[in-house]
Amino acid sequence: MSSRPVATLVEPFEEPERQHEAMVFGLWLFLATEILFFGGFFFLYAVARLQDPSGFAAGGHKANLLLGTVNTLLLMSSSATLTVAERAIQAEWRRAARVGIVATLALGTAFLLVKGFEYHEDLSEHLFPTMPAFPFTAVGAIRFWSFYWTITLVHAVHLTIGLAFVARLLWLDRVGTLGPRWMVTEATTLYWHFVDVVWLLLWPLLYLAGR
Amino acid sequence: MTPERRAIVVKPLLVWAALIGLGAISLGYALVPAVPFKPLLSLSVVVIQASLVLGAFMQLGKASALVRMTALVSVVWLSFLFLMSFADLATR
Amino acid sequence: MRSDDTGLFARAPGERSYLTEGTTLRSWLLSTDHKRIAILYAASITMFFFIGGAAATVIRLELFTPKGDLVTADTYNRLFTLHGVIMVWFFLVPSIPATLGNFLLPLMIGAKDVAFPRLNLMSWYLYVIAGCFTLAALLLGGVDTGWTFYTPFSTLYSNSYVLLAAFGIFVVGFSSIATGINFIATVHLLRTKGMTWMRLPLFCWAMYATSLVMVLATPVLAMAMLLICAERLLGLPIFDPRAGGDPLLFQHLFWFYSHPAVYIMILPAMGVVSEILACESRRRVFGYQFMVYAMLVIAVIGFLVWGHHMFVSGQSPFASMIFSFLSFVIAVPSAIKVFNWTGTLYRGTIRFSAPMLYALGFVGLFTLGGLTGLFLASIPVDVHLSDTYFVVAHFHYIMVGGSVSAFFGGLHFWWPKITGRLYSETFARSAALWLFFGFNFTFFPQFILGYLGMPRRYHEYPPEFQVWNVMSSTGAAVLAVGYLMPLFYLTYSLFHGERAPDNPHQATGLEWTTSSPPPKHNFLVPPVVETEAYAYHDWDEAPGAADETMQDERA
Repeated sequence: MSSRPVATLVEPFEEPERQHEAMVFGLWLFLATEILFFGGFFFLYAVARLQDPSGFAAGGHKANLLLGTVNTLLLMSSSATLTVAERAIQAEWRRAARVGIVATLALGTAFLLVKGFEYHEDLSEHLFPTMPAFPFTAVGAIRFWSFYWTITLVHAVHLTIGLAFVARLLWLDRVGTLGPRWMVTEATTLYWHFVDVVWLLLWPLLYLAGR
Repeated sequence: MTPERRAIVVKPLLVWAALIGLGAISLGYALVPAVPFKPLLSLSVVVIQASLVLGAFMQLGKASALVRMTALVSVVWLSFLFLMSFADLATR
Repeated sequence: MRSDDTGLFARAPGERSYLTEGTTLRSWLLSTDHKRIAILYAASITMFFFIGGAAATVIRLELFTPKGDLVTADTYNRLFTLHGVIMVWFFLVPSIPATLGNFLLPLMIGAKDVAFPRLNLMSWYLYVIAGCFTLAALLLGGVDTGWTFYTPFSTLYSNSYVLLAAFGIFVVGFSSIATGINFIATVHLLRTKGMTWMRLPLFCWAMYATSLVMVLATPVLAMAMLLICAERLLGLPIFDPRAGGDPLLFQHLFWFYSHPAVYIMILPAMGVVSEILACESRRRVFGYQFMVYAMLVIAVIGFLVWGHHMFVSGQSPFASMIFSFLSFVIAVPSAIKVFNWTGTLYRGTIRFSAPMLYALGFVGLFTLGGLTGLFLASIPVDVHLSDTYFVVAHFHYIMVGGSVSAFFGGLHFWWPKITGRLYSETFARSAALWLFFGFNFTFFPQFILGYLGMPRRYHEYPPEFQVWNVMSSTGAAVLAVGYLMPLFYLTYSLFHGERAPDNPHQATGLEWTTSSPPPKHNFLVPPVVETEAYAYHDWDEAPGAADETMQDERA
């Protein structure tokens, strides 16, 4: 990126390069904590799957592969659109930026809607372990579904927070400060991509486990 | 459209296509009955997909050494949790 | 209040400092000035300290007599849980980093503020919100699981406010993480010209190492607490043994954080002690580089020893041996630090000021606590001592004898800088001595009790243990005096204390080159560093030779 817009400086920074370095570093420090946070969940997954592989796979077989795959496509696409938006902002191409941000918001919201629908489907099949009509008795299956609900809820919360930050970009565009605040966009997109990567890892673990 | 603007749209699109293609491979292999190493393949695909997102979208390759070290350290520390807990679970 | 008022804040008419810039409540509660945020934290942690202390008071009162006659067993469980939860997460973890660290780190590196001032303010609000959840759990009746929340009791069987308390801890974790991220970025990116890494004061290195641990360990705690919440709230059988849940699984996740957490609590104290010992003995710190490496090594190896809390829980002997070995290894860098502090004092011109008394107390008490940790690291000995008062004494020696002593020492040492006032040295020294003697009377008998076999977390005990328990409870009363005294003379100093000069201790360090209290942006002119830290004497000069005239001026 050769020429970026002139950046707005925030306290305590006096040089844009230093501020940029700090924002990217600070955000990656935060992503490091998220890696450890989600990593703990994946540790539990590994333990559960290795301790009762057949029960686990039986539980996983009932995961809704179609809806899960649709969601993966939506999220992958939203990462692409947000990248376009980020680069467009740095090139001061406002129209593409706006389109990219709105597309990301739409795709992310669609993800949540599909997820909500999927939860509805799962509940109507009694796939919540505390329900009396839960169809499995195998320990692995119970643990699969405990893991499924916990991790997808946590991921959805992260995604919602991400959506709020992306929506803020739209607001910044409306008040005309999106260009000078391109560093904020970079921070937002880094977070969004991380949410995407977590889902990319979750998809085979949740939806391909029982195949 | 200027070449720069074309690149802004096309490059992410290419990465997106690669991500989809890889996902398709993973899905396809998972649906074929009775083939070995399904988890290994799907996880390998995820590693490639994640590398694409980290490299092409998040530009980790172009980031400062400090940032790359941060990402590496978090993964190494996570491995402490996995390795030492499994040292217990596997040897009981 | 006009800024030319020589009332509470200003030293002279017209003088401005971070205290005089904005005197409304709003200017304090919405301040992004790291110095004001430090004071906000100081007020909150003091409140929590006394709440946790109140719980301890009732515990020690109960333990005066062998019979469980003051409170029921269930109430006793809630008391020690409350004491642990509040003292660990709402006092010790934030104490030095969020108060002294927040105030001093930018000053010591010559910066205007931390890297992310608004994140700093948010970290305080997260702390307060978390505190509200935990206090709510307390007021509604408390939690009876112990601060360790072991499953499946905490998730399936406890009839107490586990969800509220676990959620409160989840939130306070984010406060910790925010502080950690801020400090790491600040140290990397905001050092002033000439302030190279190896010229940083050891307090800054301690903040840096602590922040690394905070950032890498706390997320796993957040996850463990979230899982407890999920099981309590949604009923998801994550740790339920009937669904394959292993109690040890929770313990691995919990202790992966909670062992490094003890290093979060001690590393800052080590930083404070290095500063005080160097200044009050007029000596360079012996072996500066090794002090730095030792802190970093402690921070790293601290992540590899957590299984030593699980020797008797059913962990595999193979894993236990690995953890035991590494627990012995981690004693080495701590010992290097103790030797280097001793080396710093050697041939120094010692000033037995109040901060120095606290710092010297730290060195002795930390050493004793650390050595008893080696007893516990040895698996066969730990089988005998685990869950006895020996463990309780061990960690109180380090947490209280160590961290709290250092916190008090640092509070006194930098009090003139923070408030612009001097406190009564006589009262301060006697408080330090009360604390030291009271502390030993309280906790040394507990080593003996543990060795003799008295279990922890019991509200009643066999009569043969009474003499030691009475000694311990009496000591606690003495200790309480030592804790309460500073409340009085420090508060008094705010209103009537002598105004402090810029550098009352004649210390090195950038924070002493600016006014007491500092201006809002710390330095009128950004400082430039040309010497290494602790330049109290030339390398080839006998220590103390240059400043015979600088003996204790405030006796």
